[in-house]
Amino acid sequence: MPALLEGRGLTVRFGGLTALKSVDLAVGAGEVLSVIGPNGAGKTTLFNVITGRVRPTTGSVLLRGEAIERLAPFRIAQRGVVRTFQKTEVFGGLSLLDGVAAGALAHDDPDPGARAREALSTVGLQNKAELTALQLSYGDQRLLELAQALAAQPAVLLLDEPASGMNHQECTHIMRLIGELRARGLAIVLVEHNMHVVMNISDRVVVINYGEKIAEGRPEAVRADRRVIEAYLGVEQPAVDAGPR
Amino acid sequence: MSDTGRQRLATAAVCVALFAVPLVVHDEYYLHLFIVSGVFVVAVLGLDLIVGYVGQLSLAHAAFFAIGAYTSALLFVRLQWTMWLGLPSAALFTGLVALALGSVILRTRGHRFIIITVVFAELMRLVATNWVDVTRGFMGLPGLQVPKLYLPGLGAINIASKERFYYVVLVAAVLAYFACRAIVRSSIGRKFVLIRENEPLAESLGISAFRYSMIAFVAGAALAGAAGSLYAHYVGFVSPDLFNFSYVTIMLIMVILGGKGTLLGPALGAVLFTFLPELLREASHWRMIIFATILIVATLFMPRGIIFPLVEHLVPRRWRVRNAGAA
Amino acid sequence: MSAAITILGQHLLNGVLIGCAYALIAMGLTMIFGVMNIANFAHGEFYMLGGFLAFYLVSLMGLNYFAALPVAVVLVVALAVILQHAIFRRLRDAPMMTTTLVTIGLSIFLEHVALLLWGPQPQSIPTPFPTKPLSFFGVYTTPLYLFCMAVTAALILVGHLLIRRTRMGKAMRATFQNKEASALVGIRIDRIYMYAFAFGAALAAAAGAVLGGFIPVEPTTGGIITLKAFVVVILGGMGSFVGAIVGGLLLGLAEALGAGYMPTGWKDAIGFFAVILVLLFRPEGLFKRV
Repeated sequence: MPALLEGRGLTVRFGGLTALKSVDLAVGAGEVLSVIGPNGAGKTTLFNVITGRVRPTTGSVLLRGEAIERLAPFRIAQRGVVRTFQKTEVFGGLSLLDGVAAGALAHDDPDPGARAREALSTVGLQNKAELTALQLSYGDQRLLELAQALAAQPAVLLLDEPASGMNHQECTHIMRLIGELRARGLAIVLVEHNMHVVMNISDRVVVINYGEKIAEGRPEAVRADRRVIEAYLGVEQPAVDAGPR
Repeated sequence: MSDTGRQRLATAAVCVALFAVPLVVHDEYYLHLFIVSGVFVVAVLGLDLIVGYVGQLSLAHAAFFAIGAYTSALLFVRLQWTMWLGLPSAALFTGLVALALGSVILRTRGHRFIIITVVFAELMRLVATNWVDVTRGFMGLPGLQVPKLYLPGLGAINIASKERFYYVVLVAAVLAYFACRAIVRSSIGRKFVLIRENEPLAESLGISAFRYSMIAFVAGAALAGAAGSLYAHYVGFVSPDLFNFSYVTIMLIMVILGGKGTLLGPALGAVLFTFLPELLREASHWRMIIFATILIVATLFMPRGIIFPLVEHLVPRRWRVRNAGAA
Repeated sequence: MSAAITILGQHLLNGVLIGCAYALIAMGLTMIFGVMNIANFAHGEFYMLGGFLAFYLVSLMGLNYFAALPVAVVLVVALAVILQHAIFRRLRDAPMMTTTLVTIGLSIFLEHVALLLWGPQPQSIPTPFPTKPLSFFGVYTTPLYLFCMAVTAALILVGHLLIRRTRMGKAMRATFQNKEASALVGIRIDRIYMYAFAFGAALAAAAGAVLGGFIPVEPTTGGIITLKAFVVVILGGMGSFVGAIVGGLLLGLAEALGAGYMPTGWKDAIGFFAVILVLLFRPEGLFKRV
């Protein structure tokens, strides 16, 4: 399957610090790629490079074969690469409907309201459409973020720790959603610490440590990889609510 | 009476009142205040787009007002262009100045943006004061006039009297209001609000903050320039005093106390805060002290302003500009 | 030729003194901005109040000049502490528009209170120094000038040491960098805010009090002083104290030379043009942060 989104030799240096070192990755439509690694390994920098917030020192990001790393972030988003954030970002005082419409408006959609309702339905928040974002619980806000991203008609979805802070029920819901989006043909890249989620929905896993890719492959293979185990200092924690094995 | 009934009555009453002013009010002084209010309505509607909708505190707005005034004045004095040509030209030129300034400063955010707008305003004041060859410095440009209105079949109508010029300003204010309302209700206006609420998020979803801030900035400036032109021809002269910081202050008070992000609030604020200072004219310093206190108190405790929350239940639903939380 | 050098020397001397004053004012502004994240539009009013209070202490209450200066500063600091407690404490996490509008309101308030109390007259603080000029290599200077120069330079040094060497200074700089971490570590943020605001006000007031004998102060001076201070802070990079000091000196010198060799009235524009240029070509300022 041809890759929809590709990163080739991505290197990012800030002054004396090398955040990413020659990282390659590729993800295709209908595929879920998880990026894991210890904290500070460079995963968020990877997202920042892909979405144009940070320019790579060397290397390129290709969307459908076209280099996009020099484009402004809003243009990259318009072309279909949309992300969520580690720290929940919503449109504070606006109703869910108004906020989620953002992505549709960005694409000059003739009926942003309809697309917003659609996105809210997909994540399950359609009954709360008139509430404001600040009135939602933490879990619902994370879902809202997903709806916001979906309204922007993404071809590639970058999710930054979507399951963080979620209880078991919410996690299951998220995993089901991701599965549904994969079935729709989205390419999904996931940064996640929750191993239960990673193991259960990823098609492939990439492991980053100190800015370098140290392993890649199917989830089970990566989990057994010696280098990966070492990188986590042998403390590979299964998620607390992993449930029965 | 139902809510809708009350709203219809209020709208009708306001329309009648607006048209009847010169018929009822004959005191030249009060007519003057109405005219000046109308001019400020045009200016602060523009400021509300930037401050209330996009959420950027621009302190350059009074400078745009003054630039419009000077542009119109210079076109009249040098090229004998009447206000009919001068006003649109002033609006256009001021918009272009805003475009140039915006392209430099709209990529910065935060305090730096605010400070640069003040620096720009101060620089413009220095130019007006010191570029004596063009602007005549402190002496200003006197001798401006209100032109005649040429209507087919009726010939040249003199509109320089306060009674008649009031209608010119009324038309300008109404046009400005409807133009701003159209912008704000469109997808452009909705993007303004999204940028205000969470700019990085809006960008990450595909909305260019730079582009839309620029639209608000230029549109707002053009309105200020148009207002300046009206003011210049009405008052009859321009001087560097137009660049005083007090104009910015009063415009901000009009917007903030009126209720930023509501259009109607700032418009009402423009009227209230044109009349109020005049009524307190005797106590010049006390007046500013009171205004400063009101500004501080309102900013701290009344983020939705004072005027709009008082009248909002009288505004018909479909008139209410969908602002969704003037944060 | 030597006449030209003498004139040049004169301008340079003036420029250095003004520059030191700018440096002090800008250091204070940087502190308030860095710790409290507030662009203090009322900063120039602290300068103005320092000058006016010193004037009234000396001329109306007959206080000794050398005592009046610190007393004036203390009075302004007291005002700053009151303002911090009454107003700015509530604005800890407020959005930028809110804090800016409040400081603008405060600036107008203080300016017009001063106008109301003291009228629009510019006042020059009477000083006990003999007016007979001294001459160094053809360049004339007065004992007053030397005093002002010495005090402002000393204050800059003291300010610098306070920031770099004392525990409070280090705590303030830590809060600059990372408020959340500082709070976690146990630094009492409210206390720091108060010290930062007081420090900023003190430096501005000191500049006003010291310079008030040299250049007349008027109640409306505040606005332009604030603007100049912002110019210096932007030129120097908004978090850098070194930038504030060097930027202040540069602006002072540039203006003094400009006043001498350019048509009057344009002198103030020098700083403004410089800011726009910096913004175009080097937005982060000429110096690195803190």
